[in-house]
Amino acid sequence: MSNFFKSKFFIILAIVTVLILILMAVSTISTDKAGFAGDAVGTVMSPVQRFFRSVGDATGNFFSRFRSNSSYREENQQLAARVKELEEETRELYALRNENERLRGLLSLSETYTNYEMVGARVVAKDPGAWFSAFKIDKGTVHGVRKNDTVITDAGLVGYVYEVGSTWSNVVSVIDSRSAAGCIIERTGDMAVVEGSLDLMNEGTCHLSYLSREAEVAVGDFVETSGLGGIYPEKLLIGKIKSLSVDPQGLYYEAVIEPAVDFERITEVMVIRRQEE
Amino acid sequence: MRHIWKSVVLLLALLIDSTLGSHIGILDISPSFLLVTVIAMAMAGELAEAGIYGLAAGVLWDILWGRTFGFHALLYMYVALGARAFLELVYKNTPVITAGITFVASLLCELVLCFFSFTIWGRGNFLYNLFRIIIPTAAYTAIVQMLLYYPITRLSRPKEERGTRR
Repeated sequence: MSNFFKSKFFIILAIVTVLILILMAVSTISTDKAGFAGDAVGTVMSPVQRFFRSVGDATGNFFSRFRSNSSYREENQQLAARVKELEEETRELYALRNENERLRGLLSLSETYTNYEMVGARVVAKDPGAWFSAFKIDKGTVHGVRKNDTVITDAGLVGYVYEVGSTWSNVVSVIDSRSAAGCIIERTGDMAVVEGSLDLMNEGTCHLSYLSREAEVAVGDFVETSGLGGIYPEKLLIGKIKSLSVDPQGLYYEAVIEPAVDFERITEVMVIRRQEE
Repeated sequence: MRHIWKSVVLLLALLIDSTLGSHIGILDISPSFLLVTVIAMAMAGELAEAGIYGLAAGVLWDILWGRTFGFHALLYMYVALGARAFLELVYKNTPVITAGITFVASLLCELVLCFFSFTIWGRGNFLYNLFRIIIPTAAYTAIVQMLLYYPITRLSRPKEERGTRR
């Protein structure tokens, strides 16, 4: 046994372990951009991952045709699109009415974001494993993307950029357990916090907490970003309340939020690039 | 040449994990092709080689996805070394034993991940994580290991050893 601890193999193993531990400590220092090695590997891998993902999506779509009656599926898609349209109209009506009542003036969503440029990107890979909801997109610093930029789709908020390379970025989604955002209930104006949670993430939902017990919220209410916290701009649709309950201490309401974005089928996103002030 | 092919297979396994893995997931549980490959290579080579390929696999993972560089490198290196060391104790390399080792290795990897990512910060429900994610992932990965055992170990062995059973 003592010979093992004196052996060349053990010495090398110990040195490698110590080096890796040092690297781990150094890597916790946050930077705005991925390191050279990570950037290089990510830049090379990104197009390959995009190809693999396209193959996977095409194969999945091919087989899914055999799993369901195509005419019912088409009708379902049309109805789902119509429901989404009607929900959007309802949401816009509530927003207009509340803004009038609170005397803030009439602002449309496009006017709110005239100060922001947007970059279109494609999802090329997903974080392996079941612990995190993060994915890689094919745009990076070369395209003007920066760390903490907000990522959205036409449906609503996706998440933010947590790591950026030259031609790729890693995005953590709003349902990831590392994610938290200040939010506002659109109909009532009540503030709360939307957080990702591991158990809800696997169901594609997330958690809303710290909602006042005096709030008159209901299932189906839309939840938007409040703009507080410094990462997400305001008025981005996060989702709607799926269920409502009182927290164990009885101090606040908490809710399960059904995100507006379907994270299982997300393929294309927009990155909001904030202009320098 | 063999080492180049092994490196390519490792890269391929990681690509599959991050792109196609979600398409073969069952109830949001996907197998880890990278771990399958690492264990199979560890079984077919020497102890030091097992550690090197485990380290390489972990480094690749950390470069592409890790927030703390070196975490998966350390984890996969010791998992590969442990798998190889265990094999040297039992002297028998069969699909079932390899699958069993893969199950334990996956269990350990997921437990460590869960512990350092969630449990020590007081987040999440450990029992939920254990029964909903950790054990199913380990089982699924072990099944995939059994299915891919022969192709990967055949590729991993030196040319002169192919055709002979250890």
